[in-house]
Amino acid sequence: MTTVTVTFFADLRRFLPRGADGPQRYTVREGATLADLLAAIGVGPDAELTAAVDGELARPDTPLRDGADVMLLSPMEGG
Amino acid sequence: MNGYWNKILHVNLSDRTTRVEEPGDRFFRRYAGGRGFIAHYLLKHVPKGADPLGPDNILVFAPGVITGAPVPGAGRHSVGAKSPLTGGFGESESGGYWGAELKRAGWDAIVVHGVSQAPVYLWINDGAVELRDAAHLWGRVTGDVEAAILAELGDPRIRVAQIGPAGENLVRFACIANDLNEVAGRTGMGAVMGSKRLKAIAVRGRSAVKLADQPGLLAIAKWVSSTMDEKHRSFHEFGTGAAMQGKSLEGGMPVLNYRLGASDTVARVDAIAVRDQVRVKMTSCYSCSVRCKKVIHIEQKEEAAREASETIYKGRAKVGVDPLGRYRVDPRYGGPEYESLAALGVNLGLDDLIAICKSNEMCNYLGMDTVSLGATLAWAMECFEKGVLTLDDTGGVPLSFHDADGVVKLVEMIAYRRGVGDLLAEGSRAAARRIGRGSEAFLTTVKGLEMAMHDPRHMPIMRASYLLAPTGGDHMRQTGNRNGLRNQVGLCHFLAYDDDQTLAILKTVTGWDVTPEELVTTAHRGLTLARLFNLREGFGRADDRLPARFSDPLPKHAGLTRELQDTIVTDYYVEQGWDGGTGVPTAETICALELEEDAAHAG
Repeated sequence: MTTVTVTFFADLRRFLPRGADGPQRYTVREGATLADLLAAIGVGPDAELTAAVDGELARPDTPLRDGADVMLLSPMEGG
Repeated sequence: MNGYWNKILHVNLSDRTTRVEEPGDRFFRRYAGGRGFIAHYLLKHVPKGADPLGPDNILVFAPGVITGAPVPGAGRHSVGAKSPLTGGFGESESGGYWGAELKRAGWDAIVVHGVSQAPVYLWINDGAVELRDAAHLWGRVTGDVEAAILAELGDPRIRVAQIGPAGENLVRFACIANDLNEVAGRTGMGAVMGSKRLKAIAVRGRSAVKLADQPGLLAIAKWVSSTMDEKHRSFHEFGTGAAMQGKSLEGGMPVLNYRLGASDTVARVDAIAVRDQVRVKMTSCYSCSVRCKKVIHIEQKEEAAREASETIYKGRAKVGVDPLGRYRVDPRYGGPEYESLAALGVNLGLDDLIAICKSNEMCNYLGMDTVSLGATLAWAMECFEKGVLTLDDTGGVPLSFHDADGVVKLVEMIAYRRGVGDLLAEGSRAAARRIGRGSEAFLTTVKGLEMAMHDPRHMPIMRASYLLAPTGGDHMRQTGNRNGLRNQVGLCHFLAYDDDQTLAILKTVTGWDVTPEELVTTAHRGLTLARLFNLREGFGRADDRLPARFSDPLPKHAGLTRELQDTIVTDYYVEQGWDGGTGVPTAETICALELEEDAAHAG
């Protein structure tokens, strides 16, 4: 199995488990991709987000390594 | 009559007279407020070619028909005039409580005419209106002025909109602050107010806005509270600025005058860093449960911070401390939102959160738009970096990227027009015209307004907004129906209402049997009115263009060609019912929008 740490930023924090804050750990099958992780979290395929794996911009088919740091971010906001 | 009172207050500062206009139901349904009111009055009362800082300009304070209703997002008002920064349609929105208080005082808008001989402030106490001497307030910063007015009038519930010293000194991007931590920042409305020697408008209202369907409106308000986690969590927790790392990762963060799209140090100055280091609480606008406004508090010494944490916040918040002992930041002035974190921070190459917060606080108490100020500094710093501006030009003051303390000093120099601050107080376009030497190449202005901190090379949705917003480089997508309508009715853009809910809010407040099609028409009407004003003042298709900087590529995004920009512009003209070549609203469109009378002033 592959365990990754996921940090939710900005509007993506709505996918945090209720009452949770800070980075969360998720375990997915070995060989899983970012798309698999997003599905496990409950993020739909059409959600507007930017994802990074180990600090690099990632795509849905980006593979996940055990211990990877995943960032889910929104690139959009006003101010 | 629900949602509005049918009372527009006209104040003539030249002869110190007031009059009340009662324009009737059709007026409110047609223009709705905000941009609609402002453009209508600008066309009607401001002569073509008028000096924006002269007596012929007017200053319009315009809530909308929803402003003041007890529903989240209904705390918005706009301020408008001919802009001293662009020479065209000037307008800026603000939140807070002041607009709702004006409505609760029984007024739908204020139109200020003329110029006062001496500094004055306007005191609106429900239906009573009085011009009062402001000589003792002139020259003072916003916090002092608000405290003085509340003490003088003896009511702590009075709400104040005002200018700081920058507005008095006619800094062309001076803002109008209300409730100390909210500002109508863009397009230099504070300079117009300063030119009229109108220091402040104090308001106290005691009448609830009448509602057509109170239970229906309360149901919508409850929806916001009950869906907070799902719909507004990030705003609720951070305000804006929590997405900066994502923007940088995608290569769309303005860095060093929009030349780079990313910075390694974004995480040191984003809203998450603000929360973790200097934020003491979140606060709200009128009737809003989202509470998306940061309040920060920084002390110079650890001991003072600890004491403030215990005495003021009862241990529930940790006051920030400047490890270098340089700056104290007063919580009365709120905290930096995304635009300020970017414009006063990342785009200037800064990763010093404390200094950025100080610059933001100073902009609030001196009364300046952080976006135009930051972008003007970025332009000047690139000029300096490339030798276009030298120490001889700046009076020996270096204008360097990465110099956080230098920025803090420059903020004050600009507000008081000291040294090179006098040049920069004109805004970047005027400053570039004055010095020449190729400095125009470094501008990030559209129609003279410095663009906000969203790179259109990265964000396609911003392209039409910057190209075609009547105010110029405006990021609020004011060109679209959704945002255009919200501007006019007085509803916050951050609330996640869908179109049906917006329609329901308008119906429950006003009782109007309004259709989605009518809402689109209302937004078109406002945009077309503003277009008519700009055309009359000499703007045309050539002004609907991004500056040269945005033809250059970013590392991760292509430059925007003239052909692409032309296509966006033409498509928008056609969509709006304007001539596809010139952008002049067609006779059919004027007729369909029932704007014949307004158009008669646009000739």
